Amino acid sequence: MRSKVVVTGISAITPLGNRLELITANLRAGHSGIKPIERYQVGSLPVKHAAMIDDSVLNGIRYPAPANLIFKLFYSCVKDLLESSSLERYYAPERIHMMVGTDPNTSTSEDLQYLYGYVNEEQPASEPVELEKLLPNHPSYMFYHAARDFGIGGPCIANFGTCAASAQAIGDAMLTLREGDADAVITGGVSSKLDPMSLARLCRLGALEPTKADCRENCSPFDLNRNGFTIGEGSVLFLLEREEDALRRHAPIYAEIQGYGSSLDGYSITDPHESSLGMILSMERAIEDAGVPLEAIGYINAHGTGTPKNDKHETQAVKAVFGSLSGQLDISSTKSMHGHLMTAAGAMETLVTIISLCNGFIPPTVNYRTPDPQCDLTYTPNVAKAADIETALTNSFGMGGQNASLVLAKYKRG
Amino acid sequence: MNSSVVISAMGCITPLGDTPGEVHEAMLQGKTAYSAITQFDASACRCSTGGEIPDFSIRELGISGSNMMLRYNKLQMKAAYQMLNDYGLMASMENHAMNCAVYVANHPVNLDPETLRIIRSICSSGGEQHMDFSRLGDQLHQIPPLSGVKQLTTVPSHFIAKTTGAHGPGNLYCNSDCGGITALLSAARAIGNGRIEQAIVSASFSPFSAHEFRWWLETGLIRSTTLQESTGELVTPFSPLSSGTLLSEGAGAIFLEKEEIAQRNGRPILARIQGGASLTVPGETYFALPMAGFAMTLKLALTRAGLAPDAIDLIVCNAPSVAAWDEAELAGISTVWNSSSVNAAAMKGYLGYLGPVSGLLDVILAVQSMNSHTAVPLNHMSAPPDERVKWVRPENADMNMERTMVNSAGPGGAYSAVILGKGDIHSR
Repeated sequence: MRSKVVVTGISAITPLGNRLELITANLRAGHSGIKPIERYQVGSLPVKHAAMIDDSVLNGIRYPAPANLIFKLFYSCVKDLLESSSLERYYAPERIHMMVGTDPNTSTSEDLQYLYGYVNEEQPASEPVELEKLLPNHPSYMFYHAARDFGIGGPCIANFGTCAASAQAIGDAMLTLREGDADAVITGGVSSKLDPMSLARLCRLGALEPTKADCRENCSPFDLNRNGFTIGEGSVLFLLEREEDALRRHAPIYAEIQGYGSSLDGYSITDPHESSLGMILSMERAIEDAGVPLEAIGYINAHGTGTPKNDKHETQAVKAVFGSLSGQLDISSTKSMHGHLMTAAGAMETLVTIISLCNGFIPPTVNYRTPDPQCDLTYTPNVAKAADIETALTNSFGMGGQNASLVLAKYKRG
Repeated sequence: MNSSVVISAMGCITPLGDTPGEVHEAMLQGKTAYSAITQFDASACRCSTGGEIPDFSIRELGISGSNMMLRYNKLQMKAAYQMLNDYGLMASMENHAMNCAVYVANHPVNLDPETLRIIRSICSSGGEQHMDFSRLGDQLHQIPPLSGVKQLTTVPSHFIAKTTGAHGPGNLYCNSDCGGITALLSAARAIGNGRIEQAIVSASFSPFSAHEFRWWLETGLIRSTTLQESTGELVTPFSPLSSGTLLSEGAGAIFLEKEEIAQRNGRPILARIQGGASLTVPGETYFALPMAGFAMTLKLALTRAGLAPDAIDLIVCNAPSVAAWDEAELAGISTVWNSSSVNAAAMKGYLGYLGPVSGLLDVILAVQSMNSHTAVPLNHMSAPPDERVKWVRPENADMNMERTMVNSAGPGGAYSAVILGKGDIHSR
């Protein structure tokens, strides 16, 4: 019989708060973490809002090297996750792995400003590039410091699967543990793409919703008038272990990662597959991997970006997978509150799903006002719903046709 | 792993050739990859030499959407297409494509020159050195719609999936410069444990944009060059005289599958994946590679394969010709082979450093070596004799290799090693 893989640690810095109790309360109340961007002058960009973290929490930490925002987010979460875990008493360093969804972290404002002086058309300037100014962008540099400071000796792998990255990383971590290749895995995602160049590019693609008079009303997944996503940022990391190991070291157990499925669309670099094929395959594979019947799934935390195409295709995919059961499913897109954390989205929504399982409620899709005939399932509009869920599914679908789904279950011993 | 996992197709593009056979043969002839850099004006740099692929184009592949690709993506597509075409995979993998995965290991890209130019033109005025990002919104139309798409890490996996109809899992890994072998091992594990049936594994690297190259120069890994120097022995792994490595561009692709599927489809068994390991052993600095990392990774790979060190006929070393790294690797090998010796080759003397592609290319060349019974000799004579390591020289290059081991390492203390067993294709 295969081992259960369980979540034994959580550390999060999110637009809905940094402590589980606060994130839970905000999800239950349907509070939005979307705010006006004030870190830099947005100027006349049509998008002036984002789901942002309170970065003051990052200030009291001593970092081992010059650090940018992503480095700080990641390092502080790893520190929080591992410092009091005493993992080293139980596992050899090489049996502790790290698999984290992120991106190459290029084009932060600091990089652009810095590189400005160094790149003259296609000829580099004669002054040397200061490595420490650019190294924090490299995931391997973040991993190096985490490995050195917290005793991680297994492979440290970044997953670059765009918006599916951290769900893929969590799925990979679960499989690594299930197959016995590691004893503990730090997994999840970290992302902050609120920089002006990323915003400008996404505006140019038409992916972001222009800012409304009250930006808390931005982002309305599955609504008839949805008009693009709202970008978010944050870091959400988990510690995963096999159940028997977690019990042996008396670790808290939050939930079980029961199944993982992923797929490639191979259809369009920007749009979902025309028949929702990749979305269908990832959900089917996750449910099959979990070994549960369709009826067991009590909640779907949807990818639900608030873009016209994603939400329509995700609805079609849920119908294709669940058939006549789809109408009874509780679904919500919590991106309406915490925004789209891009490469960390899967981790954020895994956290939301765990909170949902542990606290007996379905978090709402806020800003849902006008039903769309093409999105005709139950999306938990605006108000959380009490529900004792045993098993839930969370979806992450990324640009470039990367799809990942995870089945999570309320933890039951044995 | 419960099932036998085999390599049944390979492809590559490098400055030394466009197929594994061409590259292997070029090395046996003593050719090296290096020439003056032409993709940008490197005349002000202390190193102006690298391994570029001249006259590179993918126009003949007829890929719709190639305007979305940066150069490294194009290299990757070239290697993947070449593999798919040369081995007739496009026709024969149809039945399994639904469960075929795509694993990609690329180096994180920095900004492309096009993007930098656009940002400069919008956000600066006159001689100001400060960029005013609030101007971006005024001139949003100047940003090409594809600018963001080009930066997507998923470009290669998308096009590979679109071409092949692969709908299995997609995995885009970065594990420092061990990404290629990490991806290969992950794919092999997924196939061996029955999660997928086939996987296309590829990696790509193209460092010849102005600021990215400049960044590399500051790492301390890259040697200085002058135009007057011979290109023959610029990169000399394990030589006490080595002063650093040189960068090259290229891409590699490997097709992995269950042995029974390869046999059923009449595909060649080029090699078998017998085991491997990836570890992180951080050193004092980001660019330090401790000896212990090499020793632990090699030992773990052997343990997982159930093999003793003397079962390995050839080790293809990481050895980029960075003195501290090469010394640490040699010490690591000596620790593991403490009562025997092993033949050792180092491909980077010919090819240079290709980031995460290096490991994958070394696998491809190790397979080529096994199947041709000819290992690649070191490209120089200045590696000192070693008690535990027998350098491959022209006079001992002809050998039967039942098993080879490929070693890979990169900044941040990342290490990977894979053990390859001989396949069923042998020709001289």
